[in-house]
Amino acid sequence: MTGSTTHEEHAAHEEHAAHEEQEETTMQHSEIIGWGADASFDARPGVPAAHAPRPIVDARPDRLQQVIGRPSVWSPHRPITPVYGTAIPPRGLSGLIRRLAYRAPDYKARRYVLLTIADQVDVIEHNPLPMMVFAGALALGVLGVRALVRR
Amino acid sequence: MKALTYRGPSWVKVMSKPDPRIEHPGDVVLRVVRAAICGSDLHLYHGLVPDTRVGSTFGHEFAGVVEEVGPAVTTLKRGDRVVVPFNISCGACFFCQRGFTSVCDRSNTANEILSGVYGYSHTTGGYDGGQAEYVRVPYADVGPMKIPDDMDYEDVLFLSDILPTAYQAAEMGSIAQGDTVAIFGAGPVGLFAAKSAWLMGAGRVIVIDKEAYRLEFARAYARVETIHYEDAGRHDVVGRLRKMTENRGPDVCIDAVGCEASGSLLHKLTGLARLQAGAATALLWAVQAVRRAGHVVAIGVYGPPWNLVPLGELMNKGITLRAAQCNVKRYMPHLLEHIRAGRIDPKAIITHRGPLDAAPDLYRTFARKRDGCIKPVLVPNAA
Repeated sequence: MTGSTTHEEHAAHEEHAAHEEQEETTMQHSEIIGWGADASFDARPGVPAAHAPRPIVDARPDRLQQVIGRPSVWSPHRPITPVYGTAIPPRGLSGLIRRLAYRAPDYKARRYVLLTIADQVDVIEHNPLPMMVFAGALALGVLGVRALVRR
Repeated sequence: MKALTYRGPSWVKVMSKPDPRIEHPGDVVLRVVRAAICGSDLHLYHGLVPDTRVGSTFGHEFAGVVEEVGPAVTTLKRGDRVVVPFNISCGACFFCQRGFTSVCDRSNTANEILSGVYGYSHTTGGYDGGQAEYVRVPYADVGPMKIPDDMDYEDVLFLSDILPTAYQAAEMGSIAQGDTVAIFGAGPVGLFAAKSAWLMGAGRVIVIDKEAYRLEFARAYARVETIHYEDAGRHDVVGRLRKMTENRGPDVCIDAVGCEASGSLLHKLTGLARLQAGAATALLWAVQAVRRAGHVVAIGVYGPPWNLVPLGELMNKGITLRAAQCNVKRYMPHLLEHIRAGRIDPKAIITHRGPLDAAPDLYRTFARKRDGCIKPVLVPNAA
C-alpha cells in the first residue's frame, strides 16, 4: 500500500516536473529576444555551404607577389603564396629541426613530432638566462635534498 | 612598438618589437584599439600548437584604425575604423570563390590544411597577431570590414571570430525549429552558440561546463538550461543528457571546448604523453550523447596529428559530423544586423579589460578561470 502510494506520488511528481519544465521552456521562448529570427534555412548566410563561384571583391590583390621579407615558414610541398608571413624566421638548432620537419608533407606525423621537438629546443635556446637560473635553482634544490638525506 | 610575445609554455611577456610594415601592395598597417584574448589562444599559451616560436605575437581578434595603406589598396584609407576576420583570405582562389575563406589557398605557405591566421603559430603561415600596438593586415581589400559610425569597437570586435564561429556552428548543426541543442563549453563561443541556436528556433538549449560561475553566467546571458558535469552522477554527462531528452539524446551536440577538455583520465594522460593532440573528451561525449541520426559539430580547436574519437559509434548511429574553422567574412553583415537590432549583445560578455602591459596577468586569469573571467580584452591604444 505504502509502496503503491509512493509510486503514485512519484509519478505525480514527475508529471508536475515535466509540466513545469514545459512551462519554463515556453516562458524561455517568449522572453528570448530574436527567437526564431533565423528559423528559415534561407535566412542563414552559410546555407548552402558552397555557393556558386564568384570573387568576394573586385580587386585582385592575389595577382601581385609579395617581395619584401622572406617567408618565415616554407615547405617544398607548397608554392610560395602571393602573401606570406614573416614573423619569426627559423633560427639556431630549433630552426634546423623546423626546416627538416617541413620537408615532410603535412599529412605525415613526423612533421609534427619534429616541430614539437623544435618548440622545446626553441624555448631553451632563446631564453638562456631564465633557463640557466631555473637549472641552477633545480641543481641547488637537488643538492640540498641530498645533503638533508645524508644527515 | 610594444607587443605580447611568447616565451614558452604558460609564459608570455610584453616586449619591444620592430613596427610592422607594408610588405605587399595590398597590405595595410593597423593601429590596434581593441584585441581580445581568445580561448584558442590558451592552446598556444600552453604550448600545445606545433611550431609556436619564441617571440611570436598572438592575437586573432582585433579592431583598430588604418594607419598605413599599401599602393594597391582601393577600399580603405588612413583613419578608417575596421574589424578584421581572423582568416587571411585572398577572396579569389578556388575556395574563397565558393565561400570557404577559412581554407584560402593563397595565404599559408606551411600546409594544405587551412588559410593563414593572425598570431596562431607558424602552422597557419607565420603572421604576427594583433595583441600589439600595430599589426600588418594582408589582403586589406578582402577581409576587413569598416565599422559603421553608429557602432563602437566593442560592439563589433567579436565579429572577428567568436560570434561568427558560434553562429556557423549552430548553422552546421542544421537546427530545426523545436530541436534540443546541447553545447559543450560555457566559454564565449559556447555562449554565442546558445544565442545562435535560439535565433534558429531551438526548443531547448543545454550548456555543459565544469565551472559553476560560467554556468551561472550562461543561464543569465543566454537563458539556457545547464549541467555542471561534476554534479552529473560521477561525470556521467551523457547519461544526464539522455535522461533530460526522453532517453533519446539531443538532436544537435556542439563541441565548443576543443583540445583541452577535462573529464576523462584516459584522454588527459594520452594527451600529456603526446599520443594524441590534447584531450578530445568533449567531442567524445558529443558523439555519445547525440541522438541517432543527429548532428555533431566540432568547432573547438584541435591540432595535429590526431585524436581519439569513437568512429564506430559515429558510423553506427548515423551521425552527421561537421567541423570547420569559420568563414568569417560571410557572416559579418548578417550578424552586424543582429547586433544592431539588439538580438545579440556581444560586448556584454567582456568581464576584463586592461592595457597591453596587463596581457600576461590577463592570460593567467583567463587560463586559470579566476575572478569570474569570461572574456578578457586588451586596449593597446586609445580609440
